[in-house]
Amino acid sequence: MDSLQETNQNLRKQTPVETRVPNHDPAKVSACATHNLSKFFPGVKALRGVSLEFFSGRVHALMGENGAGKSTLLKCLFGIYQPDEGQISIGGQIVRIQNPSHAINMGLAMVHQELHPIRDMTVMENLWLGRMLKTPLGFIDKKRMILESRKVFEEWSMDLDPTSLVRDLSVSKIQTLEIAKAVMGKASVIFFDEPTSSLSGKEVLNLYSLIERLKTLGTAIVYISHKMDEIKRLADELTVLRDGRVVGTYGAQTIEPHQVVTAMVGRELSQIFPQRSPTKPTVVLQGEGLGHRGKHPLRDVTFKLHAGEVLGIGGLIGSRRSELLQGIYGLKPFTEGCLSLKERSELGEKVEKVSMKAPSQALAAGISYLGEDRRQQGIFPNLGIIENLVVSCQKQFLKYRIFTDDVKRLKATTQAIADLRIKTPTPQTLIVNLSGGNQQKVLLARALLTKPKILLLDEPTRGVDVGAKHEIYELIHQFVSNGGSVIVVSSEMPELIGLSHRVLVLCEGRMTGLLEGDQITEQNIITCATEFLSTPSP
Amino acid sequence: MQDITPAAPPVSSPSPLRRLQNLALHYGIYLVLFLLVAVIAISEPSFLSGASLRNILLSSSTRLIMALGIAFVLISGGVDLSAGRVVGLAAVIAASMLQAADYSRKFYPDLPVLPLVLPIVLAVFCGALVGLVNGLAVAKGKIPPFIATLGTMVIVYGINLVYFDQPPNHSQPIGGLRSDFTYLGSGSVFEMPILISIATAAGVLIWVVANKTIFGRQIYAVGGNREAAQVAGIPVDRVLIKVYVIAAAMAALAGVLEAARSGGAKSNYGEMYELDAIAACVVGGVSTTGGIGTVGGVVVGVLIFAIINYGLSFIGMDPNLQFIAKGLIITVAVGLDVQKNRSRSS
Repeated sequence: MDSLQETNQNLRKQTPVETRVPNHDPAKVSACATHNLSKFFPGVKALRGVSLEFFSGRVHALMGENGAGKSTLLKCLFGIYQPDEGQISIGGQIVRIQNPSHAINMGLAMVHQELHPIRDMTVMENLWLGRMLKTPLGFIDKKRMILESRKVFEEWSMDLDPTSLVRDLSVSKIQTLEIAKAVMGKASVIFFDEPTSSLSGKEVLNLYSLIERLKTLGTAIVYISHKMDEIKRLADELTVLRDGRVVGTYGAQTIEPHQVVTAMVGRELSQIFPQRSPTKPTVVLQGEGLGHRGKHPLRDVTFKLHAGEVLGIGGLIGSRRSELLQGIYGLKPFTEGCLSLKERSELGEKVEKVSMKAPSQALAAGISYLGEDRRQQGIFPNLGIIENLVVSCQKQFLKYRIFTDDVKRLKATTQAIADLRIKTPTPQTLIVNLSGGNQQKVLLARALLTKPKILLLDEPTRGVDVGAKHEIYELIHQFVSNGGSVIVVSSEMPELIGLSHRVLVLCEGRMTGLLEGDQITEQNIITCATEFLSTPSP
Repeated sequence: MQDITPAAPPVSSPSPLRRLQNLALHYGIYLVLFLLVAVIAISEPSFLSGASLRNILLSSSTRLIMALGIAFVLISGGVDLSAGRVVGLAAVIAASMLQAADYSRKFYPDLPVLPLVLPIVLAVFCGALVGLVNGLAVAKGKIPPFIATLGTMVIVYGINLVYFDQPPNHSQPIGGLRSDFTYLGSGSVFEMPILISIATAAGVLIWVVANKTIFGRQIYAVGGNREAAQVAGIPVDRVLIKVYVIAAAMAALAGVLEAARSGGAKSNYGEMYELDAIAACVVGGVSTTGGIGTVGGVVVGVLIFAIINYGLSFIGMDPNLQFIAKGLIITVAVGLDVQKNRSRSS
């Protein structure tokens, strides 16, 4: 019960920072440093003279908008890129890092935003990859490795089984595995790249305690995150990057969140969430007893969506929030219940029962969707922005009824780039060359281009920086004030509360609450979201 | 909101050597083509003649038609191993119905003289049916394309053998083809060989489909990211089925034309053609993992193989060594392509 309350507290942004023990050792030991590091790409200066120092036993947070240079910096440190200017030193010695395995040998480790374990191998094999223990005869010594792995897991109270397949692990356990790898490699610097973006509250706490322990052992931690409360809780120093430059390094405990935001975007964001516009009484979409049967069922979801409304979907990971959206969009058709679309007219409502069997059907009915996983379900990496944008409504851009009209396509793309402020050198640029936030804007533009009446958004701001986040909120606001309706899934409480007129909460595939007005509080959402969950043991 | 920097800051331009490297990477395939022609022409200057050009184009015509279909399949993220056997089946079907009336060993002794188009359409239709099976197996049955088309490859060959073995033919090569049919393979209209005209038309048509139609753009999307294509509302299954049908129909057309060109047909026609076609596509820059490829690239790829086949024989190179040359070119070309993609993505 205690840990549950703790979870609730940590999800809260206003949680007062606990007083921490001041660092007793005034002589900080430099574990890794960059000196005037620069990296150029065609058309972009990704890093411009970045000098940073990471100290042993301290947590150094890195913040910045997408495209500010954080990822490039990491890739330079890991030898994925070679810097064009400047130097890197590890433990005071200037080194030239040739490739990732060289970096790992030098004592660097990375717990990556998108983790890349080998899914068809066991935990143990992943852990020992590249340094397998051998029997005297030269064969792989499985027994000893399993034993050693168990020892490490026990020592660090990691809940992992060396013999289980990585394919069967949750994201958080895969992350734990990555940390175990770093620990076993005796890494002196560990980089965490947005580690909590797909973790639940309790998993986040576990991660925090691991990091605290690594710290006491003298490991330097570099922690990249967009979340201020995490940084307040963990970090000692905080560096903000903008446009490839260091804006400044601050004491993480003394700086105010709004100062950080100002440093990141270069100006103050007065108000993060736009004022909610009033909804209209007309119901545009209605679901009754919706559900999927199967191993991970969704049961008996009933809701009404009004014109001009943002309906938030709350719940923890595994509550099947995404499945609800995918059901409405026809990606994973409902097996139970009925969905009806209502025509908006003053002369009485025309109810039409629909069963979405494919996304094309939903699109035709005026429902558009933005998936949760940008890389997997969103972008076409080989194609440019134009193609990525028009893919859902090709029929709008035809001439002589069958040929694609390149002029019209380009015009629509240029328009979208201007409207959504997509940062790109050209409309033809491959989408993979854009930063995460800009990719997301392209996908949002794709959804809007189909002229939808209902927009389904699954984690629309995941991995997106503050500035772009704000713009996405504005776009949602604009869309609903023009009479559109939105259903949004979000794991970020402030976002869910700040955007939604009403919040529907799911727990284990069942609907546990529909909150309105003043009822929409973190406490209520969490209570509903954990209704069926057994209290985690402390 | 934050001001958007209107133009990217200027970047220090790469060194001339680096630029040359990039140039070589991007146009490497044309460089290979050029070097090949240069080497052959130096050792045998008479190679650079109208006759050689004509021979090369003639021999690459049917190969191009087939490779264009296969390119669609590769771009969609699949592969078609059955295409070579479809060539054989279509050749045998067309030839069996288009023998001269006075030929002594006819496949169908009592067959009346059919209109020329009928057997041709029938052969192409049979090919398309094979493609439909491939497409359904891949799209609806979720069978990996390599396996699905491997299966049909063997089945089609079996069907062809059964058909070819019918009495009174008993697996004898089919000859004595009608002159109006063989004219398709050897004749010319306005000095332009018909075969080359057909291949050119096929190239133009496929280019238009690939670049200027919704279907064409959808092939690239499906090959680039199948799940995202599904989410974006593309009818993925339908696109895949169409792609396999087109590929098999093109292979069947190639088979019919092969029969017309060689004046006969046997059941083992087209054996291994699918691998040649895949190799030509890959050399021409079509990605085997899907999403990337151009019609221009496929044309160059096919030409390179035709020049190797014709040119190396022309200068009297040992045919056995020619295999080694061919294999080397495949490996080098794909190696260049990998380098190119790597430099692009970083």
